[in-house]
This record gives sequence, structure tokens and C-alpha cells, in this order.
Amino acid sequence: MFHAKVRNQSYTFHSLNELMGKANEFRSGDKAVGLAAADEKERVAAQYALAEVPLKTLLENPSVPYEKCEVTRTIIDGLDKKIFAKISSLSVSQLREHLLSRPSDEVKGLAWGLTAEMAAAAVKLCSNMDLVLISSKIRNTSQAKTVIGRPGTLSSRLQPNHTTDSVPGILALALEGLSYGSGDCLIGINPAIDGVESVTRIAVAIDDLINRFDIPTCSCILAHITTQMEAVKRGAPLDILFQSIAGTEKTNSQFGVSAATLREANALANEKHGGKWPNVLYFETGQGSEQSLESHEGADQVTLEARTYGFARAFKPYMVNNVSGFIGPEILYDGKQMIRANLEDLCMAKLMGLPMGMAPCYTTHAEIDQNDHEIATMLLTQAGSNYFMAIGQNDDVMLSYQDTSFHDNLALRRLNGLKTTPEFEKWMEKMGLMANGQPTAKMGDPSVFQ
Amino acid sequence: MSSNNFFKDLTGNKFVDELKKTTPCRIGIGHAGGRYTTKAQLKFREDLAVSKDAVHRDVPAQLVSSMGLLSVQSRVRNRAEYLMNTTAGRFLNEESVTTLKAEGTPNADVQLLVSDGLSSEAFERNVPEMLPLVTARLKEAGLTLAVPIFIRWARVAVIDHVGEILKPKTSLILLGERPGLGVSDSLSGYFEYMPGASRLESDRNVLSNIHRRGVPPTEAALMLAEALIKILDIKMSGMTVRFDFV
Repeated sequence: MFHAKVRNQSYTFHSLNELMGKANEFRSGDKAVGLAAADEKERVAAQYALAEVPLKTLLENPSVPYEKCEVTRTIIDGLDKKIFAKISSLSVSQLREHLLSRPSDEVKGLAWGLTAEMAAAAVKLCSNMDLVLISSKIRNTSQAKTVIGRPGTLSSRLQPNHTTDSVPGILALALEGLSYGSGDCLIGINPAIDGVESVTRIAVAIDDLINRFDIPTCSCILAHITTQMEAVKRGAPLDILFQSIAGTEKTNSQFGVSAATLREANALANEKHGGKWPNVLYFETGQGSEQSLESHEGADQVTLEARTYGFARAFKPYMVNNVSGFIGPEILYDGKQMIRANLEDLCMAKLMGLPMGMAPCYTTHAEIDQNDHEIATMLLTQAGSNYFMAIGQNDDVMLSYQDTSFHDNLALRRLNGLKTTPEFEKWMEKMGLMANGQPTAKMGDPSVFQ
Repeated sequence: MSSNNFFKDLTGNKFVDELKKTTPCRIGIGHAGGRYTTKAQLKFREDLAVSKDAVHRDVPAQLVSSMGLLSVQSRVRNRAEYLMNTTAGRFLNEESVTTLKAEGTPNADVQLLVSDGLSSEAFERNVPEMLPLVTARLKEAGLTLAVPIFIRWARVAVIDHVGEILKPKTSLILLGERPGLGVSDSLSGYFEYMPGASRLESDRNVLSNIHRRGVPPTEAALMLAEALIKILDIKMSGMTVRFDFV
């Protein structure tokens, strides 16, 4: 039981999960499952109470029991006890202040000493600016064909989806994106049809494209991971293997994956690259998938997202990004909730050591518009996202949602004095898109590929 | 197809025009200092505006009554609640249950349901055309039809709550899909054999993407009528049943 008083009114929270839920900034998904505070006073009471909770209590009481969930087991078993020992006497309040006041190296060095619940709890006490500040201290790099996430860089995943998997349509959008300097960490297509044959067909076309213009990037076709594995076994040219994951074993099993599947995929991709690429997997996450699939196990959206990151890091991924905002207003109702969720996600992922990219996004039925989305991307760039998605004018016709565009990525790099990977910048110079570190008049003109 | 053919086919001076022909995506839109041209910017806003309005506008009550629909409402009390609380949309409110018991038709072969769902535009542009066609085909097949019902702010699973009350042998619900950018009038039709409280999502089938540039409403009406006749005949529906259109 946890207690707090606000203006002479006493509040009692019967479990850690209730306390963690009610300490969240308001979002519709928590309310729908009965985990949101009833009003603002109860919310701040929960934050007061959470501030006093020792990190040891969070370690000993994971939001989903160890015996019940392999996500919990993956996180607890992977915890570095020596690192945790350094912060084991802290409360959540003290952890927040520690993250704000200690030097970057020290904050980054805490990653494997933090469980998901610790990262989530600290984030619940942070304002938006706190989140950006803590995030900006931490750079987590990863490496496949090239290294991404270095200070001074902002990469992008080119996402040239097509409604019916038409190869010419996919290539056309890919060329448009490349002409804006998009796609330095990945060219990744969400196929409309999940099948070995169609995945292979798209993979061959993207591989040809990469080889034809000698582009320093990787390919990925975001079908179910077992489909990709089968395609690779039959010789399909896939560089990186992808899977959507979540913060409970129950949700992951609804996605048709487990830790064992991901280990197998990792081994397969490593074998394909002769062990030369340190990181070969790509994960997508995002607040709300557990609630949507009715498998949240009594935990709140923010904590579940942190748990997803704790699970992800065990597989040393090349890329991880959220898609918070994708599901709809039943999870994140408006622009304020979407922006907040994205800032939380980036901060928690960085704290836990992931090479995190961001896909802040929205659907037409949420109270979110393009202006909200642009605010999100500007803040997330300041906070040091490794990459964003890159699509044609914010409109993914295949997945029917709005995400970061080629133009946005270009503007975000300019606004913040950032560059793509050095290899990709050199490639753009070769293609005549950049000269002396500046875009040329050819930028945005796909006819350079003619 | 490898990209070699693609590049061989794309030659000539109008390279970007040829690219544009291959995809419905927003490409070849140029830029102004790296940002969108005003034309592209306003076109995007136009498409978003149309979609957002489709979500938030109500279906006119006059249209509902002119179609001979019995009008009821889910447990949702307002639009914002509809968008946030997916559970409340799966059940009728108490007043509606009473209305159904008094004015609905129990034990029919087919119960037709319609709802605004996430797009009033999808309803307005498709349902008035589809409903008479579905009805005519089912009557021609000699089936008994319950009085059709309009449910404001419904989710798909409301089909089971209505099923629990009126016990039809089969039921179809037409409801507006979440608008995409620039496609705001798309409708889906979900249908089920013996709808009721114990039924699961996997017991339903769906025909989606019903709109003038997708599956045309007139064709969709006939496909759905045939599907209802089929599930009534084979006495089952759901994931294990295949239809020509799925």
C-alpha cells in the first residue's frame, strides 16, 4: 500500500501497478483499462507517493510476475547487478535528479543496471523538457553496414510502401526519397501481402536498387519474422530482420513471437552476414498494443513500453522505433498525449541502452494534426532520436496513417545542424545531391537516378 | 521483377511523370526551400480536412428515418467517448434495448444493421444505395428480414449484442471505416452466423474497402447478400469459411 496527501486529502494506492498507472500524465488508453487517475489531484498524489518508492522495491515487484512472463524474466536475468548496486539505495525521486544532474557518460553507463519499471517510474516524474534533456545526454549507436546514431547525425528509414506491393511503385517512391537524402539507415518496406514469394520479390528489387547505385544502406521487408526467416533460408537478399514486439509475453504470443524466435532470427541473420555485422535485427514497438490486444496484465501503457525496451535490448538490435500514435484515439487521444508519449518512449529507450529511432505518427480519427506531428519531430530531434521514418508527404497510403516525410527529415537535419551517416553523405555527393556539406539544386529531384 | 526492367522502362524526358504513374503516393511534388510547395501543402490539408470532418459529422437523422431504419444508440454518449472507449460502442444502451424488444423483429433469417462507425460520409455515400439491393436479393431468395436498424456510434461487436436480443439466424453490419488521407467514404460489411454474446471475432467475416474507387457499393451489396445466403445455408461463418472476395 502506498499513501500520499494532497491539501489534507489522503490517497491510498493498493498496488504498485495502480500507483504506476495513476502517476502517468493522462492518456486515453490508461483510462480505458481503469488505470488512470480519477482527477489531477489524484495524479499528483500518485506522483508524490511514487517519488518515495525505493528502486529496490521496483526490482522486487515487477509489474508482471517473473514466473508468468518471459519479458520480465528477460529483463531481470539480464540485469547487471554491479551497476544496479551503485543506485540501489536511491528512490525514484533521487533517480530522476541523478539522471538530470550526472554527466552523460555516467547516465549512459546505468543502462543495464535499470529495469523497465525503474526507467518508467523516473519518466513519470519528468516534465517534457526534462525528458528531452535526459534523452539528449545519451547516444546509443549500432552497426550493420554502417554505424548509426553517432552524435551529429540524424538518419532515416526510407519506407516506400505500396498498396498492392507493386515493385515499380515501391521503386518510384524509393527514388523520390533517396533524392531527398532519406534512407541512410534502412530501406524498409511493409508488404501488403505476408508471404515468402512476395517478400522475396520485393527484397530482390530493393537489393538490385542498392547495388545498382551502390547505396550505403541496408534492406528490410517488414513481414512477420518467420516469413522473413523462411525467405532468407531460400536465399532472399534481406539484410536486416524485422519484428513487432510488446511488453508482455501474452502480447508477443499474439504477435506470434517469443524470445526463442528472436534468438533464432538473430542467429540466422548473423550467419548470413558471416558475423561481421554486430547488429542485425529491427524492432517496432509503441504504446497501447498490449491494451488493444487485451493482454496488458494490469500494467499501464508507459511501463509496458519500457518493458518492451527491456525485452528488445537482449537481442542487440540494429534499429528500434516506436509507432506511438498509430493505433488511434483509444490509446492516445490528442496531440498533447501523442507528443508526451513519444518523448517518454525515447527517454526510456535511451536510458535502457537502445539505439532508438522514432516514428511519432497519427491517424485521421485522432485529435492530432500535422502541426502536432511537426512539434513532435522537432522535439525528438533535439532529444537525439537516432532516426525517423521517411515517407512521401507524411502519407502512408498502404498503412493508412501519417508519419515523418522526406521533406521533414531534410528540414530537421538543417534546423539542428545534423547530417546523415558520413558514408551516405559521400554517396549523395557522388549523386550530385550534396556539395560541400550543402544540398545542391538537384536535392529532391529523382531524375538524378535516370 | 528486378529493378533492371524498371529502369529500362523508365527512360525519356518525363522521368518524374513516369514515376508518378506507378503509385498513389504523394511523389514528384517538388519543394520550396526543402519544404512543401503551397499547392502540395494545401492539397494535404484539404485531404486531412475531408477525412476529419467525415469522422466528426453526424449522419442526418432525416436520412436515417427516410430509409425506414429503426434508430438506436450504443452505450456511447458523445463522439469523444466513442473515439476513446471502444468497449462502450460494442453494446446498446438500455433505452435502445427496450426499443429493440418493442419494435425489432425477433428470430428473422437476416438482421441488417448499419452504423456511422468512423465515417458518416461512408454511410451517406454507400448505404442508401446498398441497402435496397441487399434487401431485394435476400427477399428474392425467400428469406425473412428483420426491420433494419441504425446504431449510432457502434463498433463491430455490437452485432453480437443485437444478436443476443433478437436472435436472428444471420446478421450483417455495415459501418464506416477509419478514413485514410483522401479516402473518407470507405465502408466495411461484417457478417456472422448466429450472432450472440458467446461469439468471437474469429466467427465473423468481412468485406472491406467498399467505396466508388474500391469495391463499388452496388457490387458489394450483391456480394454480401450472396455471402449471407451462403452462411445461412452452411450454418457457419468465420475464419474457416472462404468467400470469393476474401
